Amino acid sequence: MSDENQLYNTFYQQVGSQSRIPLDNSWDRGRVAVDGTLFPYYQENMVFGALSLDDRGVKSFGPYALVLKEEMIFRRTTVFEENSFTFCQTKHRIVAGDPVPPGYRAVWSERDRLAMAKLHSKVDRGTLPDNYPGILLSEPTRSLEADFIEVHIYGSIHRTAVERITGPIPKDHSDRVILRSLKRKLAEVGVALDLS
Amino acid sequence: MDALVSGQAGLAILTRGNEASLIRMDYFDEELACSPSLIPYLLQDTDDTVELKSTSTDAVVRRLQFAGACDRALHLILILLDADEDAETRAMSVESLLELICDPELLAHLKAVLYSAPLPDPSALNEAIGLALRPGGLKDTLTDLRNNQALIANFSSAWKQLPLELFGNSLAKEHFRRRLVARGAFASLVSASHDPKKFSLAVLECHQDLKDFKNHRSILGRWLSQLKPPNVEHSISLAPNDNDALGVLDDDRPSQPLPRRSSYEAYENVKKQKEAIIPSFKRGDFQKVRGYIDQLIESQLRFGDRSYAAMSLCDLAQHAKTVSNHSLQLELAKRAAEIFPDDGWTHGQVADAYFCLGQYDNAAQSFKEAAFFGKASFARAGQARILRGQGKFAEALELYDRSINDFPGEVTLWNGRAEVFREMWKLDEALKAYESTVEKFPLEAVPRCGRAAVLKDLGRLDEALDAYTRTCELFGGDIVPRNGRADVLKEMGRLKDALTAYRETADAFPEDAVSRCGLAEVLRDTGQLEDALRLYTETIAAFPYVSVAYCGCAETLRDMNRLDTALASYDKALTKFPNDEFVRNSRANILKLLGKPEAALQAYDETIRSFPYDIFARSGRADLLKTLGRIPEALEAYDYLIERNPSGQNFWHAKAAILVVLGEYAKAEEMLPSKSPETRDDWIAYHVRGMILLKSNKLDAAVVHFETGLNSIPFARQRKYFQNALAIARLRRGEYAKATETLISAEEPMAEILKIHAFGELRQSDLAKRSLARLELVCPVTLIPLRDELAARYQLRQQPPRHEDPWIFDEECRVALLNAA
Repeated sequence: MSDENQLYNTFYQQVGSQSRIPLDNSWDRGRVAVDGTLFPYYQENMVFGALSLDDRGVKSFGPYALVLKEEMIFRRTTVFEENSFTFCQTKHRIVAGDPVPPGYRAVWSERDRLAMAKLHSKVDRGTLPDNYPGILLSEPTRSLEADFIEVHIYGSIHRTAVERITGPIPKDHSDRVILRSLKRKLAEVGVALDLS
Repeated sequence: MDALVSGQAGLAILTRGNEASLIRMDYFDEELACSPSLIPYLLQDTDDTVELKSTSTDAVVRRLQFAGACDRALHLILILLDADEDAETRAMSVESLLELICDPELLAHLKAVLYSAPLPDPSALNEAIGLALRPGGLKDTLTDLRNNQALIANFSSAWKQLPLELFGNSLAKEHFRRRLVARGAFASLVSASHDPKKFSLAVLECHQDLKDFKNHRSILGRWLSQLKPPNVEHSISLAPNDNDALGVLDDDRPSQPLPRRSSYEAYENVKKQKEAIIPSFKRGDFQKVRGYIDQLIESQLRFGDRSYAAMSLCDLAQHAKTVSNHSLQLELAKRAAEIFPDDGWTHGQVADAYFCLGQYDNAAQSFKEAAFFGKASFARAGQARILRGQGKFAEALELYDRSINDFPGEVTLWNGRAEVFREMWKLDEALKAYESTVEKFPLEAVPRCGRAAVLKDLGRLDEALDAYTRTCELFGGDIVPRNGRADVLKEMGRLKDALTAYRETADAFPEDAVSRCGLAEVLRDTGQLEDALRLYTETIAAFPYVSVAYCGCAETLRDMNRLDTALASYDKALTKFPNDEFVRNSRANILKLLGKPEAALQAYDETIRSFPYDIFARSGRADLLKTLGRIPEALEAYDYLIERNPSGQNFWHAKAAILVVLGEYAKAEEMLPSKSPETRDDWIAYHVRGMILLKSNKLDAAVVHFETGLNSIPFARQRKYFQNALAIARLRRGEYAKATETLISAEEPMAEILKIHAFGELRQSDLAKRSLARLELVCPVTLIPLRDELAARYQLRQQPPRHEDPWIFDEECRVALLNAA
C-alpha cells in the first residue's frame, strides 16, 4: 500500500517472480490444478476474494480485509459458487483438463442470481436481514470450513482499487502503535481504516 | 501433528495428515477448520514461516506468540526509523519496543533480520538512537546496528555477487539466504568479523545450520572468502571446488559413532517396534502411533538404508488405511516418498491415500510419478480407479481393457474391469467378468467376493450366500467375505443369523469397522435403536474416517424420529466426506422428511449432474417425486431406473405403488412377487398388495394381511408401514379405539396424522391436539393437506373442513403407499 508502483500480486506471480517460496509441493500442486481448470492458461492473473454484505472478510484468512471499489473491478470479476478448491477437488472430483460444470459461475452483475441459486434454501419467512451476512458468508468453526461465494478478479489490484480496510481493534499495545502508523499512511493514499 | 507458524500472517496452521486447522494471533484458544489447499494462500507474502514437526498445540501457541512478537518488533523498529512518521507514534513505538526486547530470544531474532541488509538511510539511526531514551537494550542495539552498517553492507553485497549457478536458480539462492537470516548467520558473522576465533566458530555454526543444503560448503566458502578477518583458522576455510563430494559424505554420516548391529538384529528390532505400533492403530491412539513411528523411522534412518524406512512407512500407511484413517495414511505415505523419492511404490502409496481422500488430481499426479519410477501397472489401475471415482465408466472400461492387454497377469485390473460393469449396473456383464476372473485367478479372494456381491445385486441371494460361504471356507482369515456373508443374511431377513455373523467377525477382527457397522445396522433393523446408536457412536470414535458409521448413526437418529439431529449428523459427515454420494443422498432423504423437498431435490440433482450413473441419487429423486405426488415425472424416473437395472426389485415395487394410487391394480399386481416375503423388498411388495386389498374395499382381508405383516416382518423401519396401514384399515372400518391401540408406540408424522383422525372420531380432542402440536413442529409437505383437513374437521383449528370422508381415506392410502414403497 505504501508504494505507488506496487500491485497486489497473485500467488502465481509471486511464485513466478520468486518473491515467495512455495511451502509444500503437494499443497501448491492441488491449487495449481484447480486454478488451471477454472482459469485455463490465465490462472497466474487471478486474484481471489469473497462476497460480503457487512465488509467483513473470511475470519480464517486473517483478521483484516480489503474492501475493493466496485468500479475498479466489476468489468474483470466473476463470482463462483464456493471455495473453488473444495468445489473441484472434493465435491465434483474434477481433474485437470475436465470441464467445469455449468451453473456455478456468474459475471459480477449477476452475482445476485448465483447467490439465490446457491442459498435460496437457507432463507425462509423467518429469516431476518441481520441474518443475511452470515448466510452469504458463514464463518468457520472448529469442524466446519468457511462457506462463501468466491470472487475471481482478473489482473493485479492497485492500491487505488482499495476502498478501505476493515478489522478488529487490536488488543495489544504494540499492534495499536503499528495500526496508528498504518492509518496515517492509508489516509495519505485515500484508504479508510475501519476498525470495530 | 505438524505446524506452520508465521508471525507476519498472524497464524499457526496445524496439519494432521490431510487435515488442517488454524489458530489466529490473539485468539489462541479458538481452533478453526481450514482446507490444506489454502495454506499457500494463507502464508502468501510471508517470509518468516517456521515449520514445527511432531509438535503440540501448546508449543504451537507459544511459537505463534513469539513469532507475533518478532513481527511486531520489526514493524516498530521500522516505524522508529521512519523520519516521516509523527513523533508521538515513534515515541509509542519506543515504549513498546523496550517491553518486547526484554526477551533475549526476540532481541536475537531482531538482530538476525536487521543485520541481513544495510538500511537504505543509515542516518535515520542517529535520530532513532536519540529517541531510544535510556541506555541499555534498545539504545545499545541501535548503536551497534549503526556502527556495523558498513560491515553489513559488505556481507550483503558479497552475497548478492554470488553466481546463481552455485545454487541452481534464484529461488534456491533466496531459500538459502532466508535460512541464513533465520539462523542469525549475518548477525553472528558481522559481530564476529573483528575476532578471528569467533568468526571461525560462527562459520562452523553456519555449516552446521545449512548442512541439508546441497553445495553449502562451496557457497559459504565463496561468500566468506573475502570477508573473513585475517588469521582465521585454515581448517574452516575449505576450498570451494573440492568439498562437494566430501559434503555429501559428511551430511550422510551420523554425528556420533554408532554401535555395530547385525542385519538380523536390525530386522528383529524393526519388527518388534512395528508390532508395538499396530495395537495403537487398532485403539485409534494416533498420537501414540505418531510418536512410535518417529522413533522407528529415526532409528532406521540412523542404522540402515533409507529404503527400509520408506518401506516401514508404506507398511504403516496401509495400517492407517485399514483403520480408515486416510489422513494419517497420506501423512505416512508422503513421508515415505520424501525419504525415498525415486521409488515407484512409495509414490503409489501416496496416490492411493489421495484417492481414498477423494483428491483425484493429486492422486493422478502421484500415479504418474509411480509409473515414472517403474510401477506402470499399479499406476494404470490407479488411473482407471480415478475415472471410476469420477463416474467416467466408459473411459475407465477402455483403460482397463488396454491395461489388461499390456499386463494380463494383474488381477487388480481384471477386478477393476468387472467392478466398472457393476457400477454401470450392467450386472450380467459384471457377473461374467468376475466369473472369468475367478477362473483365471482361483487363489484370489477379491474376485470371488465381487462375484458374490453381484449375485446379491441381482437378487440371487441364495447363490450369493453360497458364494460368500465358500469364499469364507477358502480364505478364513479374510474379513471381506465374512462381512459380505453377514450382509446377505441381513438382506434375506435372517437378522438373528446376520447378528451372529457380524458379532463373530467384529470379535475376531476388532480393527475392522465394517463388521461393527454391520452389527449396528442389524440392531437398528431389529428395532434396538439405543444399542445401535451406542455402537455407531463408539465406532465413529474409534474409526473417525468411516463414512458408513456416520450415516448409520444419522439413520438411527432418523428412526428415533430425531430428524434435526440426524440432519446435523449428516452435515458433520458431509464436511468430513464431501465426495461421498451415499452421505449426500442420505442427507437429502432427511431433508425430504423434514419437509424441505426443494433442498432435497437440489441435492439429488447436483449429484446426478456430477455422477450420471449414481443410481442411489436417481432413486432418491424418483422417490421424492413420488412422495410429492408428481406422478408422471415419478413414473418416468422409475421407468428409467427399471430399464437400467431390471433386477432392482425396489423400483418395480415403487412403480406398482404409484399404479395402485392411480387405481390400476391389475397392472400393479403383475409387478409384485407372489412368494412369501423374506427380504426387505419382499415385505414392501407385500405391503403394496395389502394396500390393493384396502383400496378395493376388501377391509377384512386387508386387516388380516397387515396384521400378519406387522407380526412377522423382521425389519423395524418397515414395520411402521404395516402399523400405519393397519390403522388406516381399522379407521375405515370405524374401529377407532383399535386404531389408536395399533399406533400406541408410533411417533413419526404419518402415525400422528392417523392419531388425529382416530382421537378426533373418539372425541378425545386433547390427545388429537397433542398429535397436531407435534406435526406443527415437523411435518413433511405431503402430509400438510391431510393434517390441515383433519384439524379443521375435528375443530382443532378455526377453519371449516373442505373435504368429505372418501377424500380423507384416499389421501391416507396415497400417502401411506407412496411413503412405504
